[in-house]
Amino acid sequence: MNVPVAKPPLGGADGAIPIGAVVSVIDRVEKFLAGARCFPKLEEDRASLELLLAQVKQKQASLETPLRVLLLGGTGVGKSSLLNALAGADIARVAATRPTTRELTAYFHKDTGSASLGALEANAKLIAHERDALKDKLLVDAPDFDSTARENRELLERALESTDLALVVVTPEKYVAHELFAMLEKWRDSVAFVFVMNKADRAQELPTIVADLKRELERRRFKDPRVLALSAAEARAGRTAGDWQSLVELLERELDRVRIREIKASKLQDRVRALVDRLEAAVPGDVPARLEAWRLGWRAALSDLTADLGHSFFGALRSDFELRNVLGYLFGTSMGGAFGAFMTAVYGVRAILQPGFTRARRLTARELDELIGDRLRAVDPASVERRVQLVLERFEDEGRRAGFHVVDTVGAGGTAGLERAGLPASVSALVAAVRTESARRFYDVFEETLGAGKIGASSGRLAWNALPLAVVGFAIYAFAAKIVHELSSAHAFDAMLVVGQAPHLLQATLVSWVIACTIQWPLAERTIQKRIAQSFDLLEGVVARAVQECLGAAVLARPEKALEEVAARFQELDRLRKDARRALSSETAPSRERGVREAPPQDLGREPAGTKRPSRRVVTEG
Amino acid sequence: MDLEQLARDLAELGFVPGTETATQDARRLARCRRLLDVKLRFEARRGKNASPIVAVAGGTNVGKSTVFNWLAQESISRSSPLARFTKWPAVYVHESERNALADASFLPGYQKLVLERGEQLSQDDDGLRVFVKWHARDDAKAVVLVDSPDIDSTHERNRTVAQDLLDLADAVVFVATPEKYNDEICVEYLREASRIGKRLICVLNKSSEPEVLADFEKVVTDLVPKEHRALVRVFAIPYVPQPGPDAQGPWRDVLRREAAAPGQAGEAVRDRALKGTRRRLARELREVSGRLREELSVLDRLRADADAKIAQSTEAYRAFLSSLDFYELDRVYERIIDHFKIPVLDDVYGGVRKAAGAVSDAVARTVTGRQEEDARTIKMRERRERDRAKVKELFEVARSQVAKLPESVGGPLAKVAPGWVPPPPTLDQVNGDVDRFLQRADEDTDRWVDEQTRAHVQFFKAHPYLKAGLRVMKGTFQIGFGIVSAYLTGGLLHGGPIEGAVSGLLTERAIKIVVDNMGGFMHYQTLKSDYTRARAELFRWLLETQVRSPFMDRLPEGSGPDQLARVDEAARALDREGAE
Repeated sequence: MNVPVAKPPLGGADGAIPIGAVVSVIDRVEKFLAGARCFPKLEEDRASLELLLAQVKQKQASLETPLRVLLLGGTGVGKSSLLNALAGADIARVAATRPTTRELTAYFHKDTGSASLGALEANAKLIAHERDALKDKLLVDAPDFDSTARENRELLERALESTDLALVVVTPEKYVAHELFAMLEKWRDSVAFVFVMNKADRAQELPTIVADLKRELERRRFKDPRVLALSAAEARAGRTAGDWQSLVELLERELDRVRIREIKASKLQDRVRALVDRLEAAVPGDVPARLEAWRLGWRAALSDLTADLGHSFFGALRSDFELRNVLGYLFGTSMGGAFGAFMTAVYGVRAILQPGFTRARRLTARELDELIGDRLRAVDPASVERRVQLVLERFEDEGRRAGFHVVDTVGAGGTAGLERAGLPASVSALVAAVRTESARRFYDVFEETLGAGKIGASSGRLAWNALPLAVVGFAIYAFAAKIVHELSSAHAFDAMLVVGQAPHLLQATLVSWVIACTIQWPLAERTIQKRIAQSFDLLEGVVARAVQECLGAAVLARPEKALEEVAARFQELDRLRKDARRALSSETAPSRERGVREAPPQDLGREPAGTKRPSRRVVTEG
Repeated sequence: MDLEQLARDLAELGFVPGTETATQDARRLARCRRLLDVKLRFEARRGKNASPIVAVAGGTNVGKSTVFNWLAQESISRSSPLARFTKWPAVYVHESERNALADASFLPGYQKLVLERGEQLSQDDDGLRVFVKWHARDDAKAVVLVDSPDIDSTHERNRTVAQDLLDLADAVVFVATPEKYNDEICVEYLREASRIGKRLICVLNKSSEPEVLADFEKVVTDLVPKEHRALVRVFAIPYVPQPGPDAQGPWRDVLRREAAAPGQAGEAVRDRALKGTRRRLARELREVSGRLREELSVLDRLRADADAKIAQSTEAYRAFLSSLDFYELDRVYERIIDHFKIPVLDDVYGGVRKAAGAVSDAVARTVTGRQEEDARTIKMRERRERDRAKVKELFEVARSQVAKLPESVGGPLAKVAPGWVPPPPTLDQVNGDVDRFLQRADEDTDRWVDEQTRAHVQFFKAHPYLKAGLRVMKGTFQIGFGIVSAYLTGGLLHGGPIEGAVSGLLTERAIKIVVDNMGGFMHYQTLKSDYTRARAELFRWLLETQVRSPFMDRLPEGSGPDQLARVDEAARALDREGAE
C-alpha cells in the first residue's frame, strides 16, 4: 500500500545504535564541567551548559522509552481537537472559551504505559488505548503558552524537556505569533518539529498562508519545514481532507521502532555535539599561549618581589654602621705577622675608644645571629606581608589579563587554594627563616674572607710583612755589623760600648717599625674596606637567595600549581573534544553535512523528498 | 508645566548600559519620551476642539483592516488572509485637521505620507511611516480614525508602531477573535490602554457565540477599574463571509455609534485620555528618576570611596615620611646658618676650617682609600630604597583597593561594575611609575631646597635689621662667653694672653656650634613638616593620575541631579494636572 520510506542504514540491523562512546563523552563532559572553573566564558555560560547537560542526560535516559509526541500551540488553535481526532474519541476537553486546556492529556498504548512521562505523570490525564499502530508513541496534549494563564507555560516547558517530537499546531489566524516563534527558536535543536496548519477549511488562500509560514520558518533556520494543512474538526467528524492522511501515516507507519530510536539517538548526538561545541566555544583555543603569558607575568612579579624584599632585608643590614665596624675590627685584627701586630694594636685602641668596636671584640657566632636578627626585625613584617599579598593579587591580575577566571583558579577549582588567612604566619616564618639563614651565611662569609686573609699569610703575608721586618732586620744587621767591625779592629772595649747602645737600638728599631707600619697602614685600610664591601656583596646574594627559597617554599609555589592545573584542564578538554568528534562521527557518519542529505532520519520535521509527495497524495485520495 | 523642558531633560537622561535591568530601564525611559512626544506635546499643539483619535488595534488576522474600513465606510486598508499584511498605520482624517497633522509634533520620528493606494500600506521598507488619507466628509468628521498594525506577530516593528498609536489615540477599537481574546499579549495591550485612560471599544470578531462573548466581557471588565467600566463597550460581530466595506448587519450601527460618532462625549474622551496619559507619564517618570537616582548614588559612593582610598594612602605615605631623616634639609639650614656668619671672625675660622678640611680630606682619602661612600650617602641611599619600596607598596595597595571597590556594588549594577576596573598595569609600568615619581620627587626636592633657601635669603634681605639683630645676639653670646670663659679659666689675668686666648676661642667655638645646631634643629622640624607635606602631595598626584583617573574614566557619568530634580517636579505637576 505504501512505499516504505527509504532510510539510510544506521548502526546495527536491529536498530540498536552503539552509543557507548557517546555515553562516555557525556560522563567526561560532566566531570570537566564540575572541575574546570578557570575559563570566564565557561563560568558565564555555566548555568545554560549545565541545563544542556541535564537535558542530554535525560535524553540519554529516555533512549528506550516510547517516542513522546507533544501537541504544541497557542490557545484556541485546536490542539485538543487534534488529539481527539487522532484518538477518534473525545478524550481532551474542547471548548470555545480560552484557555481551555490546563493540564496534560497523555494518550498511549496500554502495553507501553505512561511511565516515561516521569514526574509529569502527576499533572496528566492518562488515556490508554489498544491501537497497535500507535504502540511506541506517547501522544501528549499540552496547554497553551500565550494565554493569560501563566502556569500553563511552566507546565509546557517541563513537558517540552521530555519531548522528542512536537506537533506544532497553528491556524491561519495565529501562525506568526511572536511568542510561538520565541519558543520554537528556544527548542529548535532539542526537539523535532512537524507543523500542523489546523482549521485549513476556514482559510482563504491556504497555499499562500502555508508558503508564508514556511518562509518565516526558513528565515529562522528551520530547514525545509514540514507543514501539514488539515482540519481537526472535519477529521473528527470523519471527513478526512487536506494532509490528514499524511499525519496519520507519519504517526502510525513512518514512525516505527527503528525510526523512533534513530530519531532519539540522533537527537541525543545532536545535543551532545551542541554541548561539546558550546564547551569548545566557551574555552578559548589559545589557552597554552595565554597560560604562558600568565606564567611569564607571574614569574616577573615574583622576581620583582624577591628583588624588592632582598633590598628591604639587605638595606637593613647595609646601613648598619655597627656591622661595618664589626667587620673592620675582624679584618683588621686578623692580619698576622709584624704588621698584624700593629693593626691589632690600632684596632685594640679603637675598640676601647669606639663602642662599636668594643662589642666587636667580644662577638661570637650566636651574638652575630642576634645582631642580624635585630636588624631584620627592623623590616616591617606587615609591610612584607602586604607585598606578598600584592604579588598574589598580581598573580590573579595577570590571570585575568590573560583571560582566565582567577578567583576560582585560586579557590575551589584550583589546587589546595592560596589560603590568604594563613599568610601572616607564613610571612613571620619567612622573616625568621631569612634571619637564620643570613646569619649563618654571614658568619660563613666572615670565615671565608678571614680565611682568605689567613691563607695569604703563606706567601702574601711574608711580602706584606717584609717592609717592617726588613727595617728591623736592617737595624739589627747594622748594629751587628758595627760590633763585628769594632771587634775586627780589636777594639774590644769599643765593641762593649756598642753593646751598651742596645737600648737605643731597640728604640730605633721600634720607631722604624712604627714608621714602616704607618706607611703600610693606608694600604691595609684600603684592603679592609675592600673586604667589607666584598662581604656585603656576598651577603646580598645570600639574603636574596634566602628570600627566594623561603618565599618559594612558604607561599608562592601554589600559583605555579594552579597554572599547571589550568593547563591540565585544557588538555583534558582537548582530548575530550577529539574523542567526542570521533565518537559522534563514527556513529552517524554524515551528521556534519546535515543540510545536504536527502532524507536524514532525524529530519522528521522536514518536507520529505519531492518524489514521495505524489505517492502520498494518491494514498490520501484513494 | 513646561513640556519642552521636560523633553530636553529626558533626552539628557540615560541609564548605565549593560546592567541587569538595562533593557527594562531603557524601555521605560523610551516609553516616557514617547508618551511625552506622541501624546502630550502633540495635544498641546492640537487645541481644545479637535476630534478624538480612534485607533483600531488587535492581533494578526483578526480583521482590523476590515473593521477600519467599516468605520471609515470606505475601502482604505486592504485586508488579507496573510498575517501581518498591513505594515504601516493609516490615518483617515477630515481636512480641517490638516494643520495639526502637518505639524512636526504629530508622530515624531515617522515619515508622513499621503495614502493614495491601499497597497502602499503593505509595502515593506526601513524606518517608520504613517499614511494619511484626507477626506471632506462631514458625517465622518467627528473622529480621526487610525488603523494600527498587529500587536502579536513576529514583526517587532509592528509592536512599536502599535504602542505609539495606542499612546496617540483617545479611544481604542480593539478587535479580537474567539481564538485570540485571551492571549496574553492582547490582554496586556488592553490593560495598558485602560491604564492610560483610553476609552475601550472591544469587538469580538468572527463570532456570535454568547458564551465566548461573555467570557471576553469578563476578561475586559476585570482589567478596567470599577469606576471606568461604564466607559467600556464589548460586543460581537458574527462571522461575515464577504467582509467588504458594504457588508451589512445590525452590528454596523453599534460599531458606528460606539466608535465613529462619539458626539458630545468626544471632548470628555479626549480629556480622559490626556489625563490618563499624564498620570501614566508621571508614574513612569517617578520610576525612571528613582532608578536613575539609585544608579547615581552608587556611582557617587564609588567616587567618594575611591577618593577616600587615595587620601588614605597619601596619609599613610606622609606618616611614613615623617619617620625618615632627610639629609637634603641639611642643605637648607646650613645655608641659612651661613647668613648669620659673624664677619671677619667666622671668615677666618671658615677659611682655616676649609683649608684644614681639604687637607684632612686628602689625607683621609689616602689613608682609608675610601671606596665606599660616606655615611650620609649610604644612609641616603638606604632611605631612598625604603622610600621606593614604600611608594611601590602603597601605590599597589591603593590600586588594588580601588580595583576592589566595584565588588561592593550590589543590585542591577553588579553585572557591569566589574567592567569599571581598569586593567592592571604591568609590572614594568608599576616600576616605571614609581621610578618616575621618585625622579620627579628628587627634582622637586632640589627645587624646593632652592626655593626655601631663596625665600629665606629674600626674607633676610627684606629685613636687614632682623638679620643684624640676630647676628649681634649670636655674636654677643659667642664672644661674650668666650671672654668670660677666658677670664674664668684665669687665662687673661694670670696665665698669660696665649692661654686666655686659647680657652676663650675654644669656648666661643663650642657655643657657636650649640647655637647653630639649636637654631638648625628647630628649623629642621618646620622644614621637614613642610617638606613631607609637599612630597605627600606629589604622591597624591601619582595616585590620582595612575589610579584614580583610570578608574573614574571608566565609571559611567550617571545622570545630572538637576535634570532629576526637574523630572521629579514635572512628575508632580503631571499628577496634579492629571487628577480626575
